[in-house]
Amino acid sequence: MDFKGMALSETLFYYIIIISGAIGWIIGFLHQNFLETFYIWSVGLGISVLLCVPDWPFFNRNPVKWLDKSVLEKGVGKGKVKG
Amino acid sequence: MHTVWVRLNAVVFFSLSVLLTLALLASFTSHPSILGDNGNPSSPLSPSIKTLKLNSLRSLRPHGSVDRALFSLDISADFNPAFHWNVKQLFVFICAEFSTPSNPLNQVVLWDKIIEAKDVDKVIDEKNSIIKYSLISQGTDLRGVEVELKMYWDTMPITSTMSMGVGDVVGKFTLPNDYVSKAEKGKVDDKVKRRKRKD
Repeated sequence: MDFKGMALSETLFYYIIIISGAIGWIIGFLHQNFLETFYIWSVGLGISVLLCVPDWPFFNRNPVKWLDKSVLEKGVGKGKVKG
Repeated sequence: MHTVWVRLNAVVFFSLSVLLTLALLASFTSHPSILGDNGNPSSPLSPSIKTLKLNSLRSLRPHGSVDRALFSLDISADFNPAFHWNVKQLFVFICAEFSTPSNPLNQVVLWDKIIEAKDVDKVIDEKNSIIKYSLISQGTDLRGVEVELKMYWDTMPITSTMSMGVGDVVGKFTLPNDYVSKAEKGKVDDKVKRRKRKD
């Protein structure tokens, strides 16, 4: 998972859990049954675990661009480079 | 967020925080100012208690150094109004209150029942039901005592503080001035029946 993928994963599970919790709470309040709230919250948790925990390909669309080895060999700044 | 375990930890514990928030919000909604107090500000969401009275006295006997009374009750109450979405169960109990020379207030639990939120039938309707726990005093001082029966209920919520309510229907009766045992009482009843037949 790259850095942008990590940010995306975190944003995703934030919204999924908060929205499922809010929907569950409203439905539970209307039906006067907290168990329904809990079930809908559990569904949100399940979706978040499936979607945000494994390293899916769409979290790796912005791979880190490392510096080229040749840049290092030219000598950057004050550091001494062997060879 | 760089490994599976860190992400799993983040997802699970964030969701638990959300669940805590939902539970706290649910406990706020069970406040009487939101749910209403059924016209009884002292005990919010009070059930409707219709009958609470003595049916018949079985015995009043000394057991060593203490007096023990056994009797049956008529109980009729509807506990549906006491339930809302944040109630797990109610612990309902009937308490006998009386005063003796040594103690100005005695409270003895005679009968109890747990009503769960999932129970379909939340109505108590019992006729001539013998008390579960006999009325025992601390001394031989139960004869001629005036007893008040009161119905209490402990509300056990899913999240919130426990609260206790007491019904306004009070069953009053006076225990006889002499000891009564079951056999003797039966004889008395027979005599009364015979008299009635003769009449």
